[in-house]
Amino acid sequence: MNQQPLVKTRDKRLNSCIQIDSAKINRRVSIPYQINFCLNAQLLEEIRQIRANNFRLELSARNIVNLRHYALVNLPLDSICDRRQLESIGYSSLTFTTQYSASENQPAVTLFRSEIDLAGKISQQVRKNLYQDSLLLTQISQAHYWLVLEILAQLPLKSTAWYSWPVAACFYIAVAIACAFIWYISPFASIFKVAICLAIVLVSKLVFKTLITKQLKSWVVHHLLKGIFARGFYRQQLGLKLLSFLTACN
Amino acid sequence: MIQNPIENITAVEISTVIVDEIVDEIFIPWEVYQAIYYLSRSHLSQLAVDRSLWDRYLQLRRQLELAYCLLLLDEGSAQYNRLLIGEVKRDLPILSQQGDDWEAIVTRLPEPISDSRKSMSEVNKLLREPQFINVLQQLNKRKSALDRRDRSLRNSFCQNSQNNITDTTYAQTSLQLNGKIVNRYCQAILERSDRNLLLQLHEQSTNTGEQQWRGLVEFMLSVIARR
Repeated sequence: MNQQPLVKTRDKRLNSCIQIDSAKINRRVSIPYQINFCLNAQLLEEIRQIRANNFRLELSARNIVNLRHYALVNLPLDSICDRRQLESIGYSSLTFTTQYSASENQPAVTLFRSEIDLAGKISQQVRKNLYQDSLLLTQISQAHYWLVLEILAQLPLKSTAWYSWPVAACFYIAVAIACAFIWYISPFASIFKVAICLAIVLVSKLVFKTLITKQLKSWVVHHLLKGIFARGFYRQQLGLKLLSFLTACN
Repeated sequence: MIQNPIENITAVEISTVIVDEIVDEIFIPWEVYQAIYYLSRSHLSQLAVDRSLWDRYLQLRRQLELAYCLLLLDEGSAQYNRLLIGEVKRDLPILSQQGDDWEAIVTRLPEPISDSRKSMSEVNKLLREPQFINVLQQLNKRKSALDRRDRSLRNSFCQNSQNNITDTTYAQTSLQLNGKIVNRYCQAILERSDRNLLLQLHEQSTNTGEQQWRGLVEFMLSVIARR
C-alpha cells in the first residue's frame, strides 16, 4: 500500500506544530527568541509511532528557512561578519519549548524548555506539574527531545550543492582563456609565459577565494541578520540559498 | 576583542532544573542592564529578596562592573579610556575577588535612568559592545535563575523547604574534553523518595543535551566552512 500521502499529511501536521516566537524590541525590529512546539495528545501519539518505526520528520521549506534564520541570528558569526558593524544584540542560546494542551478547551501550558548554547552550556527545564505526572513526563520529554534533534539534524546548510561544480568549471575556463591569451599574444620567451600563467592561476585563485569567502559571505550574512534578506520568507530563503552556494564554493 | 566561543570550550555542561513555571525569557539589553545596575543591599531589602540570595545577586553587580572596567582598558573597544587606566588597574584586583570589598568602589558604569543626556548616550554606546552584551546575557541567565529561586523560597516559606529543589539546578553533568565526566547533585535530592525519577530525567537530559549541542556545532560549521 502506498503510504506516501499519509506520511505527507502527518509531516504537515507536525510541521504546523513548530512555531517561532518573536518579540518586538522596538518599532521596527522584532527578534525571534524561541522555537515552540505546540503539542496535544494526538500529536504525542503520532510522534510515539514515528519514533517506534524509526521514521524521520521532513521539515517543510518554510520551517527550514525560518529555523535556519533563527539559528543564524543567535550564533556568533564574528569569523564571517563583524557584528560590531551590525549593532546587534549579540549571540544567544537556542531555545526550544514544548507547550501541551490536554484538550481543545484547555489553554496550552509550557512544560519543557531546552536552552542550547554554542559555548557548551545546555539547560533543560521541566515544569513541576509535569514532573509529578510520570507518564506524561515520559511522553512529553521524548517528543520534545526528538523534535529538537530532528530540527538540528536538518539545520546545517547543504555543502554538496551541485551548483558549486559549474561555478568551479567557469572559473577554470576563465583562467584557461586568460592563460591562452597570454601565451599567444605576449612576445616573451616560453619560460616567462609559463611563469606569468602560473602567477595568473595563483592570483585568480587567491582573489576568487578572498572575494567568495570573505567579502560575499560577509555581505550575505550581514544582510541575513540585518538587511535585505532579514525579513520575509522569500528574501530569507534567497539569502540562505546564496550563503549555501558560497559555502559550497568555498 | 571578539572571541569565538567554540575555541574556548573545555566542557559541555548539561543541567536539569525543575521549575514552578516556564516563562518566556526575552533578552532586552537595556532592561537587563538597568535591573543589574541598581542591585544593591538596600535595593534587595526593598524588594524583600530572600537574604540567602543577596550575595549571589550582588556578585552579578560586581561582574557587571568588572566587565565594564575591562572594556575601559581594552584598546580595541570604543569604551577605552586612557585617562582612567591607572585608577581602573588599582580597582581591578578588588573587583576580581568574590568578597564584598568591591562595594566601596564608586561605580564607573553609566546610569541607565538619568536626566543627563550624556549618560544615556553612554549607555547606548555601551550596549553596542558585543563583548559587554555577551556578559550581560550570561548575567541575565543567572539573574533569572535567582529570581525564580527567590519566588520559590517565598512560596515555600511556610512549607518544609529543606527538600525543596524547585528552581535550583538539581543535577549537572560536565563532559570534559580530557575525557572526564563530572556529575554534581543537589544534596536535597538524596533525601527525596522520587530521586530515581529525578536522576533518570537528568540522564535523559544529558544524553540528548550532548547530541543537541553537537547538532548546533554542525550547523555553525556548515555556515563558516565546507564540512
